[in-house]
Amino acid sequence: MHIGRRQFMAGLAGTAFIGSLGRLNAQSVSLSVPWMGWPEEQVRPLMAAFENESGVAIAEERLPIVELFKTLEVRLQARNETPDVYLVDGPLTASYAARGHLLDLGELMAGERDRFVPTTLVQGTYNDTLYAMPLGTSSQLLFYNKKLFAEAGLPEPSADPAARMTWEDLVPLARDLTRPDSSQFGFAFENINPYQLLAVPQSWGAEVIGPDGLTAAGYVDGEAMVEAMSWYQALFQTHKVGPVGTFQTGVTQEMFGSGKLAMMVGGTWNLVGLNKFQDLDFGVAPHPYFAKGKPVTPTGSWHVGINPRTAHMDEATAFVKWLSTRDAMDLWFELRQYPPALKQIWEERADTTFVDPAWAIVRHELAETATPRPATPGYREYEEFLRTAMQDIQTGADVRDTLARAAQNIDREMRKYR
Amino acid sequence: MSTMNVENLRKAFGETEILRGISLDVRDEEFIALVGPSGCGKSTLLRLIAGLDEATSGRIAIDGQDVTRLPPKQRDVAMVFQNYALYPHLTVRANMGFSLKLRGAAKAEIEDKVAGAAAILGLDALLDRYPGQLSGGQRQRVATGRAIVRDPKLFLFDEPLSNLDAKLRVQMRTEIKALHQRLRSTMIYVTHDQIEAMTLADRIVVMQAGRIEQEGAPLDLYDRPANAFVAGFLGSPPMNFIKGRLQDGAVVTRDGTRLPAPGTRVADDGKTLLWGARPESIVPGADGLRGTVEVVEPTGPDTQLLVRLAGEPLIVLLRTRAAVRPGEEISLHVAAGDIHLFNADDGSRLDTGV
Amino acid sequence: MISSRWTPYLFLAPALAGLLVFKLVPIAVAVGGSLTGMSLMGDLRFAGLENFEYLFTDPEFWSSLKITLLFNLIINPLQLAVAFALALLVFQPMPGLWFFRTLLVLPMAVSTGISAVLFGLFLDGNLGPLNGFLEWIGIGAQPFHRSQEQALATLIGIATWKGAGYWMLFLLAGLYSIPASVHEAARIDGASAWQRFRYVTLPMMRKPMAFVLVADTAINFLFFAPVYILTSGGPSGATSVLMFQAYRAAFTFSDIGRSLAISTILLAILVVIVVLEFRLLRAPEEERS
Repeated sequence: MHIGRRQFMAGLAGTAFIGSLGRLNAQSVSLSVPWMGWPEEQVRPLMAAFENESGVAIAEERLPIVELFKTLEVRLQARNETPDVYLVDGPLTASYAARGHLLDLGELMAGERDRFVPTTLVQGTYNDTLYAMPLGTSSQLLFYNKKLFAEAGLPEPSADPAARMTWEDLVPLARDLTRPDSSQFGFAFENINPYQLLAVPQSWGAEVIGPDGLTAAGYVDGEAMVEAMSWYQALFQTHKVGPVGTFQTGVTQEMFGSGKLAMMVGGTWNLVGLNKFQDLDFGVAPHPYFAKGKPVTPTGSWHVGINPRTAHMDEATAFVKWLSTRDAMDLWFELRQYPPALKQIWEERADTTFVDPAWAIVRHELAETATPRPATPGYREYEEFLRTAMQDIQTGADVRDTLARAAQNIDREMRKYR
Repeated sequence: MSTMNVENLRKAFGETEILRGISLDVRDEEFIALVGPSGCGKSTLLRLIAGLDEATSGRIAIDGQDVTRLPPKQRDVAMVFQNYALYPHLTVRANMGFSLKLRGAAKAEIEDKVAGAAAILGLDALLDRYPGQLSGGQRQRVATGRAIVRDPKLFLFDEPLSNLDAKLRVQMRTEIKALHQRLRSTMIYVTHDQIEAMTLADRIVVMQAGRIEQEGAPLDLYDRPANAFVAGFLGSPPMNFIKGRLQDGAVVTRDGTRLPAPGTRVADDGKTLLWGARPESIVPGADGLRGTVEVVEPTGPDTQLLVRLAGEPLIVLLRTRAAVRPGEEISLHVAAGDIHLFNADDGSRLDTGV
Repeated sequence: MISSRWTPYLFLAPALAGLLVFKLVPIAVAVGGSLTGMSLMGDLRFAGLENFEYLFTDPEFWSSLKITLLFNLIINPLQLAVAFALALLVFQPMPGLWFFRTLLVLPMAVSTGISAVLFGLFLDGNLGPLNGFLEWIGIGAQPFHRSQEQALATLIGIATWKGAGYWMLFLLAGLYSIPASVHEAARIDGASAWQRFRYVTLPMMRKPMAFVLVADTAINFLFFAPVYILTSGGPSGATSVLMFQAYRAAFTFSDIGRSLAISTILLAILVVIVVLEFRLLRAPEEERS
């Protein structure tokens, strides 16, 4: 880990402060905490706040998302005392819990559950037990470029969830906003992650996994799924309103930010992420839905879990407990604007950071339409195959064959959880 | 039936002149040896004749035809390289037949000619071996055989024996001599070994610094070297030289010793000369030059002495088993006809007329 | 006398120890591990050939095996040919030679991961400059690694871009090791430039070519990073080489036993192919001695 001068000075100041309080002895404990590779200034202050309060040092490791998952997989499978506390992607809760990598937080969080937005707890829960404490949540919005709408002489979409646009209405709108001669596209999803795309078949009325959470055949390749994903494919291959190759946030955000994409369904993180495009004037509207189905929005975010084998159980539980406090969550929201997991922050922060209508829309979605990803111990396998399938479908592969193949592969991998 | 003529041939690599105007005529069936110290240009001359390098100016003709700008392929010459340059991936048979195969000769013809050459060189039993499985002498024979098979107008040898040990070198030398007498082909042979040149060649061409110093029959060059360089280059051990001033029919050295100088009128008195005598022409004799024996080296048939004479070291090669010891005084005699005199400034020969 | 028949082994001991620790033990561990399975809670058990049985009934495995073989069947001769052509090109003396040589080996200095990322940007359908250029000259945009038909070829192209200069160095050294006099002998024997290449250069390059082919095969059988970064084995499994399957088994599906089974199969195939390649390129003069 690279230590810059600023951290060194901060560390020096912190040490002096703690020393003056006579807490030097407690400094001997240091927790190993793999974390997301967010910018250092969005991570360190949170850790430093806990260090100051408890005297327990936090040795956080900031890792890029793929590295984080890989590192956790390798370390957890070694089944020893490291890491102590780690960042858990919501839908992986079941996978870790089923393999004994997460401590049951039921006791720790007893009496605290009412403080959380209910959908956020769902993703940290497996077999009715809370294993991972939600740090925040997420939702998806329809982002649109105001300038491109004005140029095309089109009215902007309504921000009122009650007047939510249907997918059926969106396609002709997207077509009007597509200009092949200037490489301008009408609409795209931010990426091909099942997190984002499952809302499409779910709105169509599809069940995306069997009730046991372990069966893909008949669901992943079910009729409703095939129809919904055929609609998705048509955006790119038939209507040609979507740019093929928008698999990852980077590319799509870049296209939207530079005015090459008129509408984008994207995560709440774009509210900050799009700031870097100075010429961009965008608006947000609620996530569209199918007229024949119901509104569904993705949700879920990062959670925090404890390795049950940790050698510093007291310190680890203290850290997680502290993270669930109002002060910690408020600081975290200050650092990185994920829709909060605590109801209290929603109240306190209303109209401060997320400008309307985003704040109001997201709050509505979390209460009414948010649908967590399937709770299955095989979510990694499920996601891996489904993501590949989504990518192939976007690029024009046969939808039925692709989903059948994905279902077959998922079921093969799920065998070990049965 | 081939002749080879070179006219005013020059070769320069950038600023460096390797050949500074060489003219040479080689007669049919002649065996020519090009000798000289390393860097004298003898190998370059051979490569120009072969067509491996291109002349800067001048003309090369084979059988009267100008080949100066022709590629090797069209010159019909064969060459034996110092390191043999055999094709390691081909058998002896294929190595020897390679040029015929390229020429599109019939299988039977190739087979025939290879067998013929193999018989001459005693390679019959080795035809299916690879070069890596042969001894140095055998490889040398294969390289020669590859040339013979071609039946070229001109054979070129580039120090073909210098990678062999001394004993094998003498044997192969004899074989090459026999080969020439058998084939009666025109051969040009580059060597730095003056014994090879003396024993093999009909005519020796001595080169130095890109020029021809002297050419002629081996014994003519040995007996009447045109200059001190040729005199010193041919012969082993080499000719002894002592510097002195001509005075009253003798060469007077720095310490006043008088060396006999036959032919009284070679030059004006007072001129600085090189007095030369070959080691084997210096014999013990009464009333001769007095020197001190420093080293005695018996070799069996001969005895080689290092004698200090007039303050200079002198090599003496006696054809007898001399009973002399280091430290003893010895009196030496040189016949008038065996004394060579050269100009000290340009090394040119002074004819003593004896 | 200190010397005994064990002395040579004593001198070899450090090298043999290295071979044992760094090569043989990991192979043994991999082969041994391929016979184990791990329960969800981390209990290791002996599984016999279960992992292999699983693989042999897995259509993904067979399709991946086919792709791995196809990939290698194309890329290894291709890289050898390109590297040889480049070596011949920069072997001839010409002005500015050092510049071209540097240019050709430059891709070596770029890590595989970074070159994959760069190509990803370069070939991107929406933001990449290459497609803009192709449209401009009238060929039209190509999907490259985003299409089932072109993905494998695209990866082969990227790997060749990266590898050809490296292998060229070995072949260039090989060319330099052919004595100039052998070429001269061939010229005097009447060989044209093509004949000299065909009958002298090519057969004398057998050893360096065999080395390059074998080493390249070993590397390409383990080809992974660009697949992982650019295609994730897709589209529709078109680039799902065995190494990617092994990676996914270990790090996505937490199935170390299966991953090691794939590695073991990969190793076995590699050994067979390398032996065949050595056979194929063994020089005739070595067969006899």
